[in-house]
Amino acid sequence: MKNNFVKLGVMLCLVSAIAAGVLAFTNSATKDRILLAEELASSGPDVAQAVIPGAISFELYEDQALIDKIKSENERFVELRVCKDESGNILGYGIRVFSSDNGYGGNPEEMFLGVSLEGEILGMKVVAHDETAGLGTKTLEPNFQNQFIGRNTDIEIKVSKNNPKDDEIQAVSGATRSSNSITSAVNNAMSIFNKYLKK
Amino acid sequence: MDKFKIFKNGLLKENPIFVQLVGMCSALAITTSAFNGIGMGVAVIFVLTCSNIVISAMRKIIPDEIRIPVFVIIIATFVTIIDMFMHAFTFELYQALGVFIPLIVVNCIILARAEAFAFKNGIVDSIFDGLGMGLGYTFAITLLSSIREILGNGTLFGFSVLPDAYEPMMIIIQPPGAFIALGLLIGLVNYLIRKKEAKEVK
Repeated sequence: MKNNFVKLGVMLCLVSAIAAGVLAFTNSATKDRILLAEELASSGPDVAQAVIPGAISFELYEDQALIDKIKSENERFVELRVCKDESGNILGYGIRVFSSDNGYGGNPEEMFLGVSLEGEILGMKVVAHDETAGLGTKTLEPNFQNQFIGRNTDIEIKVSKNNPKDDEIQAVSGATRSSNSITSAVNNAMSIFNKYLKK
Repeated sequence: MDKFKIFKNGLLKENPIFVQLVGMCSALAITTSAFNGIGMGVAVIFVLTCSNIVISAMRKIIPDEIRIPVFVIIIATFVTIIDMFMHAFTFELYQALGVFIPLIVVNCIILARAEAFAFKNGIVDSIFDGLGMGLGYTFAITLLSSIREILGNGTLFGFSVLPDAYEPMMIIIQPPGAFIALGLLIGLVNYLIRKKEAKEVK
């Protein structure tokens, strides 16, 4: 009886060890590609273009002291990037934040808001979300997001279900939670701009 | 046993979704667009076929008492491999399928085929069984997700297929719609299968 336990234990160990070896090999084969894919999806050229049209470079903000200050005062802040065009002129900032209202999937959404130096919203890109495909994901499309473009960071944006007023945007019908979530993220980014970056 | 018969078995007669009713969780959750359906299907075909091969090859050396833990380790290993590969090479699909890739581990189709087929049959038969069952699963969830995408969003694989005048039935794309659509589909498929069988008896 005792021998049997030892035999079974050894067998299980052996199978696990082989499995671990195979996984270690796969991990080393895919690790770099995964990092690259993550990097491209969260801050590659496509993202830069969407955040501020015409932006070629999308570099992290250099003043680390300011970044640390924002991070310590605002837990929804993720990072700050500077958008430059071909000739190196600064077009504006890409402010990466979490939403304060959760999306429909129950988690905060994560997005970049593109703001010009003067405080005009130039573009946006949601980089992480778990909205329902075909419904909540309509808030990721230009039809919805273009409503934010051209607005000034001074005025907080609200969501309306119909007939939006000047300071309101029209929610996607059937996806109010997702619309609220995105709007809250935009407002977070705007307040960061107003407090720390506005000249 | 006839290889083609084993293969065909999974497609319709013992289709995992429509007839055996296993793997329902993923079938309900990710079938919001046809693209998701195919992607999930391919991942399941890979895991199912690979785990069938390995389990069938090891069936004589795995002691009966610990076969289930060994199955789970083998299945989990293949799931983690496909998870890493999808993360690296098909990032968008990886994000769309999200938590349902790791959850292939507990998709009952795979453990069921390991226990019911691969542990008792040879490697070649097990490959055909894995492919057949995997394709049957893929066929079922792709059909379901196409129907949901067309009715609920007016598109198929992201392309508009219905006139703009069509107002998408929002509920079909939402979770309740998954139950309704899947229920009706299972009913329809079983009705057709039975009708065909009745004809053959005559």
